[in-house]
Amino acid sequence: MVKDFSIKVIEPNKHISQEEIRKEFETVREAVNDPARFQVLYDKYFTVIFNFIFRKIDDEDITADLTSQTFLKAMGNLRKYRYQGVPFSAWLYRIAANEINRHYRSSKRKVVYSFDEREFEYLIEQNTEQEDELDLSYITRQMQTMCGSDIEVLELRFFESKTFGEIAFILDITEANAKMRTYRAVEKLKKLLERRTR
Amino acid sequence: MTRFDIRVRRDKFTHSRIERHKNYQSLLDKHYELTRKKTRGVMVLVFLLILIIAILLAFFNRYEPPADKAPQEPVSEMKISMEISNSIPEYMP
Repeated sequence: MVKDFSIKVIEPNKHISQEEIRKEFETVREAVNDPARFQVLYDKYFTVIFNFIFRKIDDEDITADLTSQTFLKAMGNLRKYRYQGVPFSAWLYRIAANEINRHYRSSKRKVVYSFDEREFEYLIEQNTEQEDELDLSYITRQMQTMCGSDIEVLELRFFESKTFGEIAFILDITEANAKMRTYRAVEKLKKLLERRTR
Repeated sequence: MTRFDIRVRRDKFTHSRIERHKNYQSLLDKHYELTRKKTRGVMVLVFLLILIIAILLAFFNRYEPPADKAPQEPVSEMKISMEISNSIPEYMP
């Protein structure tokens, strides 16, 4: 049984309804025969996918390339897309995550998580009981002791405001597992920050 | 040593900065080019497959398995038959 808990995210109203998800699916089906129809989805999700990739790459040009590659792959595989009750963006996130992994495998560079200062501060303040002034360099150092999969779920939940269903789809895990992972990651982060206040 | 770096950036990525990288037409062109390449690739594969099948068919049609030869008699047991003609050849005077 997964413990129920709430996490404050950056944009809580970002989630879309089932009706909108259905509409997106219809657009995808139309785009299979007429690729020009894909522009609606491209315009809708370009910025979020760009931001998602940039957060893990921290290089504008490489991000632009990977974003373009993500949409190109999505366009080429529209026939394989099936309705699964999650927004089309979840599929794009999954492709983008694969592209990022491929990039790191080929470049053999260290993985980077680049967070916006204000968003980062907001999330730490909202989700932990930090009363002192935030020492971001300390927090980032502490977060580096966490494992990559924890940072991944925190990023999807906090910065991308994804539902657990979407996180599960993107990471190819069950929804219960996604909840559990997020809960554990938040707990770990809280513990890391508590150590300092003691 | 950790396997990742966490960076906190001060400059926020503006919407207009992201918009600069947006180009649907170029993406569409790339997509069509890729589709053309894929189609060409499939056509070449199909052509090669047909060619291979045709070559195999031609080979099996021409090929005749060697007929079973009758067992040869040993030379020592061979009967020599000669026809001796008694008639006088025409050119003899």
